[in-house]
Amino acid sequence: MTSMRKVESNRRNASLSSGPRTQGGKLRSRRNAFRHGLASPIGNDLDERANVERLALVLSGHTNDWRRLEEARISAECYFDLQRIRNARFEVFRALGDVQTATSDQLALATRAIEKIARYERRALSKRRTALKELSV
Amino acid sequence: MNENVIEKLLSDLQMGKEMQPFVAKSIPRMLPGESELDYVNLLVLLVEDVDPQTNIEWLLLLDIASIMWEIHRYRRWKNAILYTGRKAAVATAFAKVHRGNLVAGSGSAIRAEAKMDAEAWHHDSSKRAALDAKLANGGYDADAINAEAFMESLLPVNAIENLLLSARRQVTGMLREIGVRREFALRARETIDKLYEEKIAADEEMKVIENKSN
Repeated sequence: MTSMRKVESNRRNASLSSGPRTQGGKLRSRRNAFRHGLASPIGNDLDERANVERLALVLSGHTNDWRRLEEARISAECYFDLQRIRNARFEVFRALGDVQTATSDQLALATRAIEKIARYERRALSKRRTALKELSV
Repeated sequence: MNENVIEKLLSDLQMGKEMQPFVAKSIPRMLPGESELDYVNLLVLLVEDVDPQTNIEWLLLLDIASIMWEIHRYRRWKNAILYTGRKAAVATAFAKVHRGNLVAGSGSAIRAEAKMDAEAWHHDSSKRAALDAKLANGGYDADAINAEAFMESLLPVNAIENLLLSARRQVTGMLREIGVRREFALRARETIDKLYEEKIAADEEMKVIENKSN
């Protein structure tokens, strides 16, 4: 059983590490878990949401059929999602700099990052394939 | 200058007005050494080849262009990995054939010298013959260095090959999708035409019967 001395010591230590306290620290730590943002839905971005709606209307041929419009919306979302994924991949390429002078460790790290991003791409493509099939029916 | 050419090339593409802003925005950001004009030329070639008919086909085509551009990047990357692997392999070979290997505790000095020798082997043609002889004395010929380079870059090259394969599959899938959609549209049109023909023939037959009875 844990002794009282140990419990008190734990409490004291815990109170010393209760996270960021200043406004700036809180703002910074809010983004600690943020890596590439690809897991969040594209609709969270207001600008992109407007683009999605515009493209969905074009793809559906300005239809009133809600089902067709919904499939077109999914296709449009996937299109912008794919652009976002390609941007994330571009950042990896850019961070690597000149590939001819990169070390093997840098290349290996970048390859791993690209492989992680590819997972999101496969998911978006598969989702769009299904939506486009429905859209053509 | 390039911007005007790009604008002209994009405006020459035969597409619906509604798709134009999306096509213009689809040009990806360029890495050092890449050019937007090359990308647009690739897009123009694809448009000539595939001849997209609908907005959905245009959307798929934009994706195909992006993926093909990435395939081009992956290829550059693979070459860089092979080049880096070769450099590392030559340095390893020089470290292995170094005479100081027999002396304990001289590892870091040997590695540093081997790295310098490898750099000279790559960039200084005047020292190349002497360094080749040094490698040959240790049993390293061109094939052995190639094998060492292959081993050095096996894992990252394999990963890039997988990415390349996946990208090529995506392109093939999208082209097939366009083909399937066209086939479907063609069959649907043929069926509708046939139904109309049958309906018109039936109507005409009815009219003839009606006229006869009158």
